Amino acid sequence: MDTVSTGHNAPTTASVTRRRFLSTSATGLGVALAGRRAPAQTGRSPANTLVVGGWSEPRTMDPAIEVDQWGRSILKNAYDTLVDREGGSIELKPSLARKWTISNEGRTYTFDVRDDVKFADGTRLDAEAVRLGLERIRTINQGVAWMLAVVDKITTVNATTLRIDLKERYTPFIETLFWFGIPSPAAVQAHDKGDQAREWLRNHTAGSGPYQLDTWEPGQQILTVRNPGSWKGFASRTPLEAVVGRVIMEPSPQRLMLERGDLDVAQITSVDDIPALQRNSDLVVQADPTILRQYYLFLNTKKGPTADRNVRQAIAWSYDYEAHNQLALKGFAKPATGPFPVEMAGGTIPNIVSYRRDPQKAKEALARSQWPKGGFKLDYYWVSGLSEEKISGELLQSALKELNIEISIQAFAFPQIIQFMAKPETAPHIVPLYTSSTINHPDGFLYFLYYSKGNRNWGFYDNARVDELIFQGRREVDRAKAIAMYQEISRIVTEDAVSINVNRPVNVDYFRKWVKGYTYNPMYIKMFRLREMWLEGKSA
Amino acid sequence: MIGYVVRRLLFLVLVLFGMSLVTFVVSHAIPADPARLLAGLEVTQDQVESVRREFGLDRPLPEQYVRFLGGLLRGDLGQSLSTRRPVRDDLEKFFPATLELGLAATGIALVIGIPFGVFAAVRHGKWVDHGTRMTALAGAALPVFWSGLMLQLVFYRHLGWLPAGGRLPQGQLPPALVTGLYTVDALLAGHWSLAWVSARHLAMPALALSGVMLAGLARMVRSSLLDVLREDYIRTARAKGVAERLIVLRHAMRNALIPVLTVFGLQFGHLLGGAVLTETVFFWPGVGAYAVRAVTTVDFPAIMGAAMLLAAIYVVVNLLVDLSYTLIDPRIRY
Repeated sequence: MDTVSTGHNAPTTASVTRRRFLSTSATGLGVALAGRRAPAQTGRSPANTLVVGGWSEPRTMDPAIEVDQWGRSILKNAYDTLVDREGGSIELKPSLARKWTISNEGRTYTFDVRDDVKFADGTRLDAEAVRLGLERIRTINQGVAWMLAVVDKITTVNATTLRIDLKERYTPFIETLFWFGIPSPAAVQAHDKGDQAREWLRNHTAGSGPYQLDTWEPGQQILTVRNPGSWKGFASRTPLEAVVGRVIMEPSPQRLMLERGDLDVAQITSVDDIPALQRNSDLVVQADPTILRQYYLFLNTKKGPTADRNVRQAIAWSYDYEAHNQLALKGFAKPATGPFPVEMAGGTIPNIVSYRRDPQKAKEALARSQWPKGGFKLDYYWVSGLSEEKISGELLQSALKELNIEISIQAFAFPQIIQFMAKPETAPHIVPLYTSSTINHPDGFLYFLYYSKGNRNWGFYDNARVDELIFQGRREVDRAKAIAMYQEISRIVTEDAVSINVNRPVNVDYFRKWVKGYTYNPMYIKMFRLREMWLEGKSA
Repeated sequence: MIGYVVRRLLFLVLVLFGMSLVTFVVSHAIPADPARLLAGLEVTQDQVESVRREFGLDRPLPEQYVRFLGGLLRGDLGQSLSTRRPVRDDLEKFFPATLELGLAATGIALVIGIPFGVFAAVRHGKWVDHGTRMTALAGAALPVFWSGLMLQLVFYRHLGWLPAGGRLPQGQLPPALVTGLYTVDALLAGHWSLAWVSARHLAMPALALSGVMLAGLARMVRSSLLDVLREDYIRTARAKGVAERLIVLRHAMRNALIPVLTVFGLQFGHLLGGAVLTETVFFWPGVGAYAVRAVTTVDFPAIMGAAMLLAAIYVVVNLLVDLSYTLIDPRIRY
């Protein structure tokens, strides 16, 4: 009996998983996993093991805490959620919840929880397990807990019925449930040292998802193995038996390893490498045009010349959007048409100002300001290491010179930028910001970016009408009315030039041709739904 | 001798205390809020405060420092804000990787650098001398990230002789933990194939890292040996007809080694702390990469832990170097 500890909780299923895995991958990795005392020589991984180059390392595997991209990608495969997405669709589908109803004027959600789901530890999932999982997130109050702040009460009605009462109506609420992975209550209880089992769940998983954590070698690699009992099943008759995520933070080695076949999927490469990778017939370079992410330049509405709307408009008309996309992203970007992505409901906004580079309009806008002839200096801070942000600064410098506006560019580490952005006095006049929404809803952008108390309101924008519309939109059940509100907000903030909406970066995925079943989903940036994937023709 | 060692160890305590104070003050002077960074941009202020309380960041700075010192005395370096593991566990995991890399790089530097220096000194002014100096200069001048990438291109991408990086192949579990140095642990466990695999992974990063030390050693050995070879006692030995090989290796080298050892000690400490680029290019999970991540995430406990460890290593290595003088030159007594 193999006694090596695994990422699973209960010994029974853990050993089954291990045995099953070993029986299906008899060489290389499988032998290596058979015991720490007898590692095998492996140059290449087994044919049914997917090897992914990760660009950072998760902080923890606790689904209540981890929010980083790669960590969420692993957790999304380890834990199931009440609702989920399939294929390339951004619409939510039932998952642990077979269906749900919304009542009490949109404040009560009642879920019909599946009764055929088992955790990897063999225990059964029911409504109470879901409740405990959600309550655990609320108790820990970190990570994804902010999305549950609107929840008043979670009640187990019976084994298959769960009710969630909200403090107030919040129409995008169902979208947030996609983020709450449910751990096995038995595992949490067994490892709870008064910390909600946080220490144990830091490097173990206890979900019902198709791939559970087996081994995590910090700084090196993370191994997840297939949970054959996963209730959703697998798309292929020869599913991935294991997935190895290697911690490789530099793009160059990722590219080299992808080209040589030591990586099946690379998660980072430089845009400069894309043409060469596209010419490689062994690789698939998949550029997907839509992504729920935007890149902005926020203008400080409370400090100095940028407090003047006309100056902000002048900057927005000056900026060279096309040059930006070519210089920074080699054209792998789409123009941003508004303050939230066009792919979202209501994203095509009628009668909105569409800024593009127009020096004449820029001069006219500046002429309307307190500084018709320019002659002032603006600060621009960017996060050191992010070349796109640096290019933005240089483009601003070049464009605003025509308006006799000087730009002072300074690079800082991200933590420092966050600190500067705590108040308008310490914030620069212009700052870049990447934003992606956790929900497929305009609120995921507008609330954070333009609400006067929004956490990412880096323009320090304060408009009572916009605040009012944001909250009305959150409560509005009628979809058409809500869209009209979001479009009105968009027109106001664009007219006020709170932010320069620069672009929507195109998502580029790189993988070997033998990787099959991958479908890009804009809500899963660099997130793989492993149960849908398999390998075809990969040699061990 | 014992009194000297005790004094130096007491000095180490003072150095560590000073180091802890300076690191604490400097790292907390950075305008950044680690609690906000940890919690995320979207979260509520309530959540930020929750994180702040959890990590004790809500306490006054003097209290945080005293708590850190108290923990240090118990061998507890606190919990990393970014990895959420005890810093001590992290350092135990990452430092052996850096040590293994440093030792291998040092080995390469010694094996190549010293003979280079000796040849250059013995063939002073000849093409060997010029060639050696040029090579040493190139070794010192080439940035590690460039030489590392070139090594990867040649030995991994084109020749396929060595792995691109990491300590082990994907899916390979490390040997049973004894020293944390995989090659050594694999040999101790009798797993020859694993030792070979580990050594192959070690080769390229060690070679890349050895460049600067190799250059420094070669130049130092050359100049030091040249000085000694001009001494009267060397002339006397030559007059007595002692073979040149014996003069160089037995009589001159011993005296020439003292300044070389001094430089070696300084460089070894520097090498352990400065392996960041090598570790990044070869995705080597060492303490350098860990320290960089700690700095970029304002991870105070990890910054402090890594700084303390590296300072201690630096002082201990130089103590050992000082003690080794007595083995080379019997006139030196402590």
